[in-house]
Amino acid sequence: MLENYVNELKKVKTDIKELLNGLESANTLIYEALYECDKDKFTKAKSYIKNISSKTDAIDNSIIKLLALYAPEATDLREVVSYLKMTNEILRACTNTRSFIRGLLEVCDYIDKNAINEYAMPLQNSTLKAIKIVNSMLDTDCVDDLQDCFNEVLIEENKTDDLYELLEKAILDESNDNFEKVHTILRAFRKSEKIADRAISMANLLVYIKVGGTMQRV
Amino acid sequence: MAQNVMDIKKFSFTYAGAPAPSLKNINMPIEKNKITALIGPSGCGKSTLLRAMNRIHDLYPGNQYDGRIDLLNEETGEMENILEIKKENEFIRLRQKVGMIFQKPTPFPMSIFDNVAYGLKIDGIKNATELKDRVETALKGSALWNEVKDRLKESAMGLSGGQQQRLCIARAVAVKPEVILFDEPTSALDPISTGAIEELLVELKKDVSIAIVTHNMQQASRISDFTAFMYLGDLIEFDKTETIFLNPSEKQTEDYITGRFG
Amino acid sequence: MRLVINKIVLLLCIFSAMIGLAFLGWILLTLFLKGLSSMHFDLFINDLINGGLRNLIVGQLVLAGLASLVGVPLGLVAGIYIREYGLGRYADTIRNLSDIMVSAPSIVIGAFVYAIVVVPSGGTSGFAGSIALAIMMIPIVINTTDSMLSLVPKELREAGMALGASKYKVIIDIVIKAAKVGIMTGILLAFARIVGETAPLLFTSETSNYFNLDLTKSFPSLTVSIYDLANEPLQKSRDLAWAASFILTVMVLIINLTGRFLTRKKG
Repeated sequence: MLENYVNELKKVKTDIKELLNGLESANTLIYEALYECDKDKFTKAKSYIKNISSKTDAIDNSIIKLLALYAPEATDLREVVSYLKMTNEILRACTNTRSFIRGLLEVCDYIDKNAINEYAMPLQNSTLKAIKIVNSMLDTDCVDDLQDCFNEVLIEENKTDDLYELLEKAILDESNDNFEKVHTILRAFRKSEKIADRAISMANLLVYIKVGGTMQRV
Repeated sequence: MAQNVMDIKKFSFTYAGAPAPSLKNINMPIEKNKITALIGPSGCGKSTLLRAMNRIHDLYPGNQYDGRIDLLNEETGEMENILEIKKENEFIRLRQKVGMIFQKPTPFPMSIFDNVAYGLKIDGIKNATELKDRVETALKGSALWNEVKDRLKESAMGLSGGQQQRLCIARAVAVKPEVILFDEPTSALDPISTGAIEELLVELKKDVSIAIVTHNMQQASRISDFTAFMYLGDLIEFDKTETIFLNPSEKQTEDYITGRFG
Repeated sequence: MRLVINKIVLLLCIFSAMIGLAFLGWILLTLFLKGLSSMHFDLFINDLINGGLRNLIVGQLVLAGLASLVGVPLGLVAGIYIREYGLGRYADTIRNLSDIMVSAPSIVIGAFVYAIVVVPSGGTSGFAGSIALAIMMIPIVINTTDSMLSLVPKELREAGMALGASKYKVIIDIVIKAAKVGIMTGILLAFARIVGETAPLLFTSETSNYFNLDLTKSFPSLTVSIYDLANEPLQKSRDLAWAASFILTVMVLIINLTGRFLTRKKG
């Protein structure tokens, strides 16, 4: 194997890992800050997902260069193409995270503590777990383990769907507040659910790398 | 600081008795410690250009040169035009500085040791220990040492194709040239041997500058730093390899690379 | 229909080959039977004067050997010249001349040497015979050397020069070594050819009944003596001629087979 090729391949994976780490750290901080509505923590979370689009652009260009120069095949090809699609998912997840943070900064104080405890935090927890599992999948090689991880992410993603619905109901029932605030709160938490959606897409791509076959949407 | 080890300037070449030049006004640098690939369809002149760079054409009389090909003189730091060389001993020195590997592996009919030592003996090295050391270094440098260290006295003709080619590379490397020219070095070899030699070339460029002619575009894209695309004796495009293969400027280049030629 | 024609042509070819082989076999068989019956150990001890063949066998080998001493180096060097140094038309001319000389009638060569050596020197001699044989040998060696060298791929020469070797070094160290076996076989076969020649020796060294190593006089020759003996009326002479023919054939056969053995495809 040519040294350049091996190094380039490794670098792309490392860069993707770095982005996932940032995503995970940001969402971890959000979770931790939710109960207290710790605005500082929210702001700190944002710092983990800065300049994502320029980073994903750089990764995309590396992958294109890799494809042009080294014509990878089989697992290498699947890996590289999956990463190319993953940068998109990561970018959107980060954008969602940022919007989530923005929304929370605005309206966190107004949310009912009960609702936060019962629905909001489990929701974010599931999202966070989904991201964590995806991050671990990047380093997993065993096909069976990957399949298990995928199933776990799917479970968490389903949970977020359910939890969001419950949260929505709780907040709508509860509040006689102004509509705009309610709307902002719900829109913010919707982002968390969307992040989980992105996570399952990523998990799907990571399984495809090792399992092969044809590429399919979840 | 990128430095050129060779510089081809307005170079044209006509074969003896040919009605028209085979190479027209070529301008191209060969950068030090980099791999420069020459690609193009059959008959485009890439081998002709390569063979002009160590003046091996001069074995066959009557060829005509125009323009200049400069080679860096490592001692003085000056560029000297190799097209002006006339004397036999200057030719010899040129070819000790610019080595060549051919498409068909060309082991000499002698032992493996003698093959690698051949160039050294021409250079006047007689001391047995020095010869032994330099042969060993050269064989290690071309990833062949482990396979032949116990049979250095055996005939080189007993080696496999890939091993023979690596032997030729060791032979060329032993004299510590500035540049080594490779004329389709892997076209006669199987994929595994090809892979081994490609890895070797990428290693070699740390010590020696490399120019390689290949009809395998993927080989050029895999290992070279710069690529020159030639067609019918003209240099159509010369640029960094990633530019040529990702964003070529000329349509002809693009057509060739994407396989739309002809 | 095509298949039938195929078969017919195949059968014709086999038939023709059989005829050729049949004659060859017949010759060898005749030689074997006629020659073997006249063979006895004394042939190798006595000279012709005493009914043996010793002086003739030795003489023939000496003549051929001496011719080789001159013919081989000249032919080799000439062959190397036209292949390695020859410039186009000049080399081609030599090559063509050599081709013509190979098929020159051996009797003509003999007559030529008679005119330029035997007449001026006042008599037949072993030297004249050797010269005639050498003249026959040179073109053969030129041809085989030329062919064998042409089989060496040009890349091998280029590789040698690309390392900085001078032309003569490339020729000696690399090219000749690569063609070594072929060239040696060529020389061997040329020797086999001239050791069996008769016409060049007829007027130049004739033959002798005695054991003689003096090259300034008529020199014993197996081939010329076969001719003489076969023409004599005595049955004993004719039998001796058969034995001599048998021995000559075996000699040439051995040399030829050695040549084949040397150029066999190695494993």
